[in-house]
Formats: sequence, structure tokens, C-alpha cells
Amino acid sequence: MRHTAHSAGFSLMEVNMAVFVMAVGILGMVALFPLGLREGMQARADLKQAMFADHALNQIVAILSQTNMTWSKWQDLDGFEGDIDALESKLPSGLMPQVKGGSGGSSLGAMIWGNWTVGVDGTPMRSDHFHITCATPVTLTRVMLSNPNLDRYDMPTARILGVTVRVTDTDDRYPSSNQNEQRAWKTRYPPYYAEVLFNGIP
Amino acid sequence: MGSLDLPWEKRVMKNNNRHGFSMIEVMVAATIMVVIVMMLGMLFQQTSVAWRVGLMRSDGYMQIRAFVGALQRDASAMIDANWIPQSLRYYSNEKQEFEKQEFSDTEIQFYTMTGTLRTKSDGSLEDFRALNFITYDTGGRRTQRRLKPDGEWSEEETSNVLSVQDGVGENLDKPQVTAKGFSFAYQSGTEYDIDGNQVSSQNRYPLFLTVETEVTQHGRLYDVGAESSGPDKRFGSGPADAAYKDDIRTWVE
Repeated sequence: MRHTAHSAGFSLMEVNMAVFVMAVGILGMVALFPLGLREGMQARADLKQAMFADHALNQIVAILSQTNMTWSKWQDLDGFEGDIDALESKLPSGLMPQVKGGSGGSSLGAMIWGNWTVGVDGTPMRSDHFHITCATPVTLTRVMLSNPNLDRYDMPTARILGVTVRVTDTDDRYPSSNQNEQRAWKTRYPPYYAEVLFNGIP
Repeated sequence: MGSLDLPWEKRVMKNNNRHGFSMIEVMVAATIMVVIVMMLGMLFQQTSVAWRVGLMRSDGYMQIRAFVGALQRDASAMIDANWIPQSLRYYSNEKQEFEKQEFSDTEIQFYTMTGTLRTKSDGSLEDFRALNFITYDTGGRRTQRRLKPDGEWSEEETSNVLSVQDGVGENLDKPQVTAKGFSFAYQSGTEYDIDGNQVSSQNRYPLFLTVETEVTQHGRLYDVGAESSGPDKRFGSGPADAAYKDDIRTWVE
């Protein structure tokens, strides 16, 4: 205080330091805004991902729960991994739902993605924007390990099929061949899970 | 020596011995301050818009969740009305027929079986499950009738599960939530009713139904203003009134 009381004003160095401190504060504050906007966008994309996954899982579960599902087709779904077209090719035509107004079986993919778009973008949803896996929780059980000759589907848990759906939040399509890229894609997007119970006649 | 060591007369008079700010200094300081205040104002406005948009969006999603949740709860208890004897179904005096299950793009109607085993006074259980006749439309209107133990159907109970109380464009502070339409998928094959008749497409029991909804947010500009009444302290009512010219008015619209 003694220094400023006797001088005519602030020195250039003092002003510089004050401006610098203020600039750092203001810039720090301003930098938060794009961050906030980006987080807002990401939240919307995440919400849409979850909504689509829920929508797709509901329909897949409804289709696989039909009473005309056969036991051999059910077993064939264990370990399935692929897109919706591949899943459709695994199912008999009798399980294909019939859209109101349409005639006969309809494309499962087109029915599921419908008018959905990817993330907050307007890119129409397609079959390689989401990835499906199916598995029954019977593969590695103590019974199996102790008796390798036992039919692994001859147990109650074989009637449960776990289905996961991963959805991209941008126009980031599931790689068609490269396994490393496929693994990386699956790491980027979280799986949404549902279970379906076998309702057919074994 | 610090200024606090001076006698009070000197301290009070101290500023008189110093120079004030020049006009240029004051103008520069004022300009910088105006710029900062304007930046803060813009910041505040942007934040407030973002806040309001977020609020409207979450409000809209909440309404959609309420609608879809109610629909999901009812649809999961749906039973195939094509296998309910006609005498048990609801008779509509308006249509002069027993109501079927019916699914169109804008309206759906179906039967559910709900209820619990009610405990009677003697401790035994009474089957309290009963048929309900439910309708939904894209405006969010839900109606319900329940088959009473005497075989009569109860009065219609109506509710709006989409809360679209104000028409689109009327209340700009509320998100406008509309159900765009229902779509359906059926199990492959032909379906027959209890009498052996083939069931037409709109009366089939759906494998699943989908509802597409839309949230619309209207942008809105707020006009904030003020005007003065002047020395006569009287408010006029229009340009023809002499007092109108110096009125004080403030508004936000």
C-alpha cells in the first residue's frame, strides 16, 4: 500500500499482470461454453441411442417370443453376432412379423429402423448402424466342464436367450470385415441388454 | 508515512490535492465497462435460452414417457378379443354393436384382463380380475370401462396421458407433444375368431405396436420495454388523449 500511495498510478508490469490474470479467468470461463454445448449434444445422442436400443430390443424380443419358434432355430441363435439382416436370415419365414397394410413377411430391418435417424444428425438409420448379439447362458457351466458329453442345451437356462444391441451415435458404421476395427467399434458403444424366454415347443 | 497517520482534516482534504481522471480515461473505462457488461448480457441470454430449451425438452420427454408408460402397461395386459364371447364384450349404444379390438393409425381400442385376488371378510380369496375396454388416440386421450360383477359395464373414465391441454401454438411456454401415429405388426399367417371367421387386418391381435411421438419447441422473443408518463402523472388511453404522450408504461411480452 505504501508503494501505490506515493506513486502516480500502476506500473506497466502491474497492469500487464492484472490483464493477464483477468484474461486467464475469462478465457477459462469462455472455454466451458463449447464444452457444455458438446456435452448437451452428447446427452441427446446418448438418449436417442438408448431409445433406439430399447425399441429394437422390444421388437426382437417380441419376435423371438412367438409360440411357433422351433427348438432347433432357438439353439441356432446361440452365439449369433451380426446385423438385423443376418438375424432375419437365421429365422424361418413363419416368425417374420406382418406389418399392418403389408402383405406377407416384411423386412425386419426396415421395420425396426423405420424413420429413425442416427444421433442428433439427420442420417437415416441403416442395418450397419447397430449390432446384435445373442447368447444363452449355458456355454461355460460347471456341469459342462465336469461332463463334456452332456448336451449343453439340456438345462433350464438354455430356454433363456440374452440379446444385446449396440447402436452408434454418429454415422460410424459397423466395420464389415476387419476384426480389430470391429472390436474397437464394439468398445466405443455400450451394449443394451434384454432377455427372452423360449415360448415354442421343444 | 501512510494516509491513516495524517490528522482527519488532512485525510478528508487529501483528494482535493490530487488530480482526477481525464475525460479520455473516463471514456476508455466506460467503453471497456460497456463491452464487458454487453458480453455478460449476451452470456446470460444464451444461458437462459439454453436453460429454457432444456427445460422444455425434459418436460416434453416426461409427457412422452407418461404416454408410452400408460400405453405399455395397458398393452401388456391385452388379451385377444377375437376369443372373447360376444356377450361379454362392451356394447356401444352409439355404434349399436359389440365393440371389437381395433387398431388404426390414429386410434386403438382393445380389451385387457386386470385385477387381483381380493380377500373377503371371511379370509377367502375372491377373483377380482375383470375385463377392461381401453381406448387411446393420438391426442393422448385414454378411456377405460370395466366389466362389473353384475355383468354391466362401468361408466367411461377419461384421462389425457399426453397432457396436451393447450392446442399447438397457443401456449408457447410449453412443449407441444403429439403422437404422430400408431403402427402394428402381426404374427405371420391368417387369424380366426371364436366363431371361425377370418379376422380382418385392423381387428387382429398385434404382435407389437409402435407409437411415434414428436416434441415441438417454439422459439420465442421477449419484448421488454418502458415509457414515461411525464409531469402530468396521468396515463392516457390512446393517441387521441393528450396525456397519452407522456405516460409511463413497462411491458414484457
